Order: sequence, then C-alpha cells, then structure tokens
Amino acid sequence: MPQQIRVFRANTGSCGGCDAELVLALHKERDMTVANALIDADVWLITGIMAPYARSVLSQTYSSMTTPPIIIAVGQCAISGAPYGRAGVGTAPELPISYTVDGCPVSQAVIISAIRSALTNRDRKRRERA
Amino acid sequence: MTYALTLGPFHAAWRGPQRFIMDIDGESITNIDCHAGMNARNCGDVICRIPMGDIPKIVARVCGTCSNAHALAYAHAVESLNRIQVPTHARIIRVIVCELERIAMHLAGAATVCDIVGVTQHSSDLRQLQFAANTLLLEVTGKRSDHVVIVPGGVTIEPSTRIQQTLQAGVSSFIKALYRSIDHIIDDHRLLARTVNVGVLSGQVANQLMVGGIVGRASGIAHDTRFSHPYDAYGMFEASMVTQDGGDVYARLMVMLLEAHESAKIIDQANRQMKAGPVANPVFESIAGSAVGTAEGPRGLITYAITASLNELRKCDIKIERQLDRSLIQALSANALLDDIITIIASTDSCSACAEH
Repeated sequence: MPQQIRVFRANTGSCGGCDAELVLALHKERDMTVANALIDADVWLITGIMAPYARSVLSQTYSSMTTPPIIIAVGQCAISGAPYGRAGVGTAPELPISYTVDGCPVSQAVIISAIRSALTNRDRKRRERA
Repeated sequence: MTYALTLGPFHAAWRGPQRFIMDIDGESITNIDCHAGMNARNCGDVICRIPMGDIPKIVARVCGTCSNAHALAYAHAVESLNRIQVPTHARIIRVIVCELERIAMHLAGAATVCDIVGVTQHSSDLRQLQFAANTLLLEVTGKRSDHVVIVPGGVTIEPSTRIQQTLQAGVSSFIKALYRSIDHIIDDHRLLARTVNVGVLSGQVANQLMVGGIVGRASGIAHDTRFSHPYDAYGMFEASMVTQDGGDVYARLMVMLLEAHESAKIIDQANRQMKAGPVANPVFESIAGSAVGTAEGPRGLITYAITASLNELRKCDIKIERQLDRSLIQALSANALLDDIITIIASTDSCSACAEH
C-alpha cells in the first residue's frame, strides 16, 4: 500500500450528497490525500450517473495511464443509475470497477474501508503474480 | 506568450463537473469560457413520471447538499395549490433542518476557499465545525444528506426532548467555536493577501446579471427571501441579513461564515420556542391546477412551478438562482491572474447539481 494514498473524486452527474461525504471522510484520514488530477491518483472514486461527456473523459484518461488506478463506484446512482433512470457505471464497460459502495448517500466509514480493502487486494494480487 | 489552458471537468475544488477553457497572456486571463451541462439528470421529468407519494424522495435528491431547501420549495408549491395550512410545530422543525443544512454547506464552501488559499489550519477548523453541524443534522433527521424530512403538509420527524437538549447544547458550543474561528480568519494576513480585490463583482454588474445568493449578497445586493418575505416560521426569529460591499473573494467568504453564524442563532431561538404539537396535516387529495413555491437555499432562491391534475403531477419546472456560467465567470475573472482562478471559482460555491438538475 502506498504511504500516501492519492484519491480523486470524479462527479459524473450526482446530486452531490456522496461527494460531500467523501470530502469529509478523506479529511479525517491522515494517510489519504486528494490528488490534483485524475492521472495522479491511485484511486478514482466515481459518483453519479456517468453522463456521456464524463464517460469519454474518464475512458480516455484511463487508457492513457501507465499505472491504472483502482476504480470504486460510490453511491446508488453510480452503481445502477437509480433513482434517475440511468445505468451508472454499467454504461462504461471499459472502466474496470474494483469495488462498489452502495448507499444514498454512502457512509464515510464504508468509503474508507472500501479504499483500504481495494488497495490491499491489489497489493496481494501483485505479490502473488511476482 | 499566449496560450490556452483547460480546467476540469473534474476538480477537487468544485462540487460538480464543469469545464473552464482560458486564454492566458503571460499570467493574466484574457478570456474564459465555461462548459456546463454535464450534470443534467432530468429530475423535472423523472418527478412527473412517478406517483405523487414518491416525489419527495426524488426532490430531496435533486441536490444532495441542499435537499431540505428543494423539498421546502416543492412543499410550498403543493401547499399553495391545495391551500394546506402547516402546523406551527412543523414550521419550526422545517426552519431548524434548513438552517443546519445551510450551515454545513456554507462551512464546506468556506473551508474549500481556505484550503486553496493555503490557510489549512482555518480550513481544518471549518471542516470540524461542518462535521459538528452534520452530526446535529444527523441527530435531528437521522441522515446527513438526501433527507426526506419536509413533505407537503408538514414534516416526517418529531424531535424528542433528548434531541432538543442535544441540539441546544450542540448549537451553543457551535456558536462559540464558529465565532472564535471567524475572529481568527477575519484578519489573517495570508488570507487577506490572496482574497481582497480578487475576483471582484461590483453591485452594478451583479444587478445586471441578476445574481443572487451569497454571490449577490457579497456584492451588496440585499435580497434574501427569508427576511424580505418570511415563510414558515422565519418571521418568529430575530436575525439579520448578511451583506458585504466588496464583491471580492473575501466578501463572499465573509458572507458564508457570517450567514452560518446567523443560521446558528436562528436554530437556537427555534429550538427554544419548540413546543409539542402536530407535525403534519392529515392526508389530502391533490387538486388540479398550477402553483409556484419558493425557498431560500444555501446558494440562492429555489423555485418549483408545478402543474397537477387529480393526484398526478403533469409538469414540474425547477428554477435556481444563477450559478456559475459563462457570463458570470467572465465578469468575475476580468483582470484576474491565473493563480487566482480556482479561488474565484470556489468562492462562488457554485452547485451544478442545483443548476442542471
């Protein structure tokens, strides 16, 4: 696990409830910082319904990265597009989702535990491959 | 040297997706363009496709950070259409939850500005206070955001005596802590150097652009429906409208902080005047017709214009006070330096979820 986990929140069309929870959750964690840009991040937290414009930006950025980040879908609308009648991250199969955190809005503790679990899993898989 | 630079659509300093394309000459911004529309979820259409009983759940999710203000505007529209009288107890509870929400959002906005400017100690203090306000909101409503508390006819919660006592103790200590924070922030030289005369919007331009909310009040436009046309229980409490004349980032920051302080005073008075009583009128049958409901949200006036037939909503138009768009950002960034643009954008506390719904 990196010493400082760089996290980037990408709001792809959400009400902002999960985003507010994310900001407060990250503020309390000493080993997590908000990355300056998508390409600098170890973890992407995707909130919202995945609007077409947001999808193209995320897909292009993801495909250009040499070290792909862990992607976590945060909130009910990111996972299923509910309650707005959209499809969420399901519309972007090119973005591999490592974890989904359900809730409307999600709880701060669950977000942090999902980030840590995802990074631990990735490190374990890397060790196994080595 | 001239060049173009793009910011966004995703950025840690703003709430929703928005893209800004700037033309830069040396260190100055010569032109700026704003691309929005990435947060459109067609909430107005979704609202018309679902049963009337489920509408408050969607209305609360138009914007997760000012869900009570949206719910209140929608409730006002339905109550106006059906001529429903809301019990006084419910009106007071509405004021408490809306003001707690306003505090949380204003402090979040102020903390972001402090973060960008580099005064991280103030930012950290303000986030702690925001967390305290969110915790009080959680105590009262059971949820930090996306609440379905305000419904047409009243509210869905009735705070117990224990919750009222917690609220009283929490608000008293909150007011003292916020006052201390404002006292430290108000004359911090590092903050003053980065925010005074930066991103200035004069009162005249603000009037021409019909800007309201914190941006308008920071430019001297004294308009706040809570005071000009008091609704629900706002007329029962003593508080003053916060305005500033500077129109710069510092003025907007001060409006956010001082409004949070005034809101805490309103909650304190409301909590003391709360007496047991009914929290909602009995179930009613919706009648056909059109009506408009308004409420002052954390970022300005929210208006719901509805057209209903019998027990069915035919049309729902949601209108929000002007948020950050092309004209406004051009006015704010006239003669601005590249270094200041993120501070200027963050100081407007613009919400794309509200604007594009």
